[in-house]
Amino acid sequence: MIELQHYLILSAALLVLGLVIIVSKRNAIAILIGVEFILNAANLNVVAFSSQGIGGLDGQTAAIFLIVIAATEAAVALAIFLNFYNIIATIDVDRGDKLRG
Amino acid sequence: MIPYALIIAWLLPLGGFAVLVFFGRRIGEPGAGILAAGLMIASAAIALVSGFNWLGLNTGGATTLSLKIPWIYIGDQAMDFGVRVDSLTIVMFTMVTVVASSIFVYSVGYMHGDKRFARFFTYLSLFGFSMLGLVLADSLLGLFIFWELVGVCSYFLIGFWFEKQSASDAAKKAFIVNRVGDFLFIVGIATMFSMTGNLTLEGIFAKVREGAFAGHDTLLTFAGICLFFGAVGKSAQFPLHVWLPDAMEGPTPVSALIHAATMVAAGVYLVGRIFPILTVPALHFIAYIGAITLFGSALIAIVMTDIKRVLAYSTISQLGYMILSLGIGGWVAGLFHLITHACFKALLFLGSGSVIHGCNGEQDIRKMGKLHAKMPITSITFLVATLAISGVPFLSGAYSKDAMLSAMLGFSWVHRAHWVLFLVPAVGAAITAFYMMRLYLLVFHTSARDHHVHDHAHESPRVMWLPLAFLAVLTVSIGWFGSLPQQHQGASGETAVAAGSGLIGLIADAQPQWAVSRQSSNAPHGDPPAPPPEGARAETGAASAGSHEGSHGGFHLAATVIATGAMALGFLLAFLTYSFGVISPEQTTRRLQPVYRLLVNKFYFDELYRATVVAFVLKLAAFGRWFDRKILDGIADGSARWVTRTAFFSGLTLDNKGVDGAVNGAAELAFASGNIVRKGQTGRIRTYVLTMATLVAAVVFYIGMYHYIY
Repeated sequence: MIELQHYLILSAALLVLGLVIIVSKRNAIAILIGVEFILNAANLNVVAFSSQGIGGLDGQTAAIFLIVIAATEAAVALAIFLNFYNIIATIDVDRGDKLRG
Repeated sequence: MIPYALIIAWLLPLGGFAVLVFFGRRIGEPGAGILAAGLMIASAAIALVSGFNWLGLNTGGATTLSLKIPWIYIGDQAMDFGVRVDSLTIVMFTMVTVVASSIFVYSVGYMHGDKRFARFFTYLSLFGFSMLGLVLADSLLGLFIFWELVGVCSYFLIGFWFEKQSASDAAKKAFIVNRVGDFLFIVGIATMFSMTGNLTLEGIFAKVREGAFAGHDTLLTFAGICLFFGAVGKSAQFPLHVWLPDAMEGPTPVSALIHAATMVAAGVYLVGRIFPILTVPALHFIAYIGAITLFGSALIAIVMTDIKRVLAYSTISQLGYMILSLGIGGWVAGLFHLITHACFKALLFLGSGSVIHGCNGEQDIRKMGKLHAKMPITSITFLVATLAISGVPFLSGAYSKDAMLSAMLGFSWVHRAHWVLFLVPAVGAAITAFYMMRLYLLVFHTSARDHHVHDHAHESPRVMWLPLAFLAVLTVSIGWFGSLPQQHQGASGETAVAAGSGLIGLIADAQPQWAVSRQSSNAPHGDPPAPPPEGARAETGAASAGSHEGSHGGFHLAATVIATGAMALGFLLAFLTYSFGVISPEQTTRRLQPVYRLLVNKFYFDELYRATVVAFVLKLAAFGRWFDRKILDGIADGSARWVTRTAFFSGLTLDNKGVDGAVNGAAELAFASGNIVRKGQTGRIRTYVLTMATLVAAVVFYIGMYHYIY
């Protein structure tokens, strides 16, 4: 039987995995993938609580919103990366430190 | 009515001044002169008409008309601007306007071609206004104001040709020397005000009479002498006489009007006005000052070689006569001489101006001579004035001089201790005759010593000799008017009208009927032989003017004989010396070398003042300079240094370090903290994410631990 904690553990694992990807990867696409990991970790959490009968269908609804947000976010991020590439001629995010203080 | 007429006559020259001061330059020559002279003649006409009206309405006794306009309020005390008209005012007013009119007309010719022609008449008009105001004023304050105004006009006009160093020096000298007298004058006024609380002449007399000075006789004497010192300055009496000879640097009409006929006589007029409050010691002081002045300056006049300076010393000497006469109580005689002297001295000065004009500016009588044929009118009028001042019988000067001498003789007869006060003027009369005849002979007769001057000499234009002729007629005849009342002297009832019909009578009408000096019983100082009872006006007036009763007549006769004898002696000496050559002036000079040296140097008064007063002032100024440089500047510099230091301290330390430090420090703090904080903003996503994750973890950890801790 899959319990709520199993979902939460998976979710936490996904979150940490996403964080590690963001921190360790230099490739912008990889970082985007990390972001998706984290988003989906959150999604999993929401759905998991919903499946346990907490809050009715709110969790399911929120999950659908989050998927849409993740999609738009990915679109915006890809557009930023294209511009990033146009300016710096690479997608290595460590090279793009123009916003540093 | 009469005060209003006189006020109009008084304001006419002011109107002329106002017009000329603004439009004078545009009006130019000769318009400015004609305007000023016309207004002055109109003024004289009004004065004459007023004078005749006065004779008509004067019903005896000293009538006084007065007019007061509230002027200044000090607390609840009003000071009125008042006009006081009595017969002396009328006489003085008429004299000033008539003499001024002829001099104004004369100036139109004399100042012809001068580049400041209009300005000359501007000043003259202002002077006319001031002098008439002085005559009209009814209070010491009013007197003082116009006193200063005539002083400043005198200053302007002496320095009229200010391009000449000597002229501007003379103007300054006149002004400063007059300040000495005016200072004491104002001290006297202040004393009077503090003791009587009043400044009008009437008020002061009333208060003094009521005993405002009771028990303060010395103070009253002091006040009188202080007031007299105003006259000493203005009338050029010893020891403040030094300015008048130098004042001859001014144009000759100025010398005639201001420094002979009117302004310098203001001092005598003042003494006449304040006469009632003069105590016996003050009168003695005044008399001796007059005697010293008349004798010393007559002696100096003998050796002067500048035609105007001879006349200047003669003026000082004649003013000394008047002062002496007032000092011994010969009130009427002194003021009568003031009137006659104004006529003949103005004539003498205008004559000298005509001579100077004819000789193209030459003033040295040693270079003149034999000018009679060249300028006959000037010569004849000059001779008339010379005879008048010397006291030739039946000319105006003789009447006034005899009146004065008889007063002096009477006085020293009664007060034997003061015999000098008769001897000096009697000898002075001889000296006067001598130096005046010497002047006349040297200028118009003897030999032509400088042919250049002689050849170019010419008679003056008509505009100049007409006033001369007019004044000559006046000089001859004015004494006749004066002598008239003597024939009518009798019982006092109806004589007053008769007395009022003549000049002496007119003046006598104004004579103060009461005086402090006559009250002191042990020292009678009034008219000889004994102090007359109060109210005996005709008596007092006539006594000093030459009465006909008893011993007075004797005095008068004796004085006339002595004066005429002295005059004859003076003339004889002058003729012997300069016409017949019996006495050689050169030899006499050589024989009396020390005396001559003394006189030529005017008793070394200028040197004395230079060595004492001027040196003292210079020392004082040098000390002031030193004090200023070392002490005051030291203090100033020291405080400046202190301020600088404070400023440096506050600037460098307080401001730069403190205030700026605070501001900069705040900025640096912000900068430094920003620098620290910016380290965190690496621009790397990694760092951000790590930081964020770490912080979130910390928060979660903290929340988790929270339950365990609390």
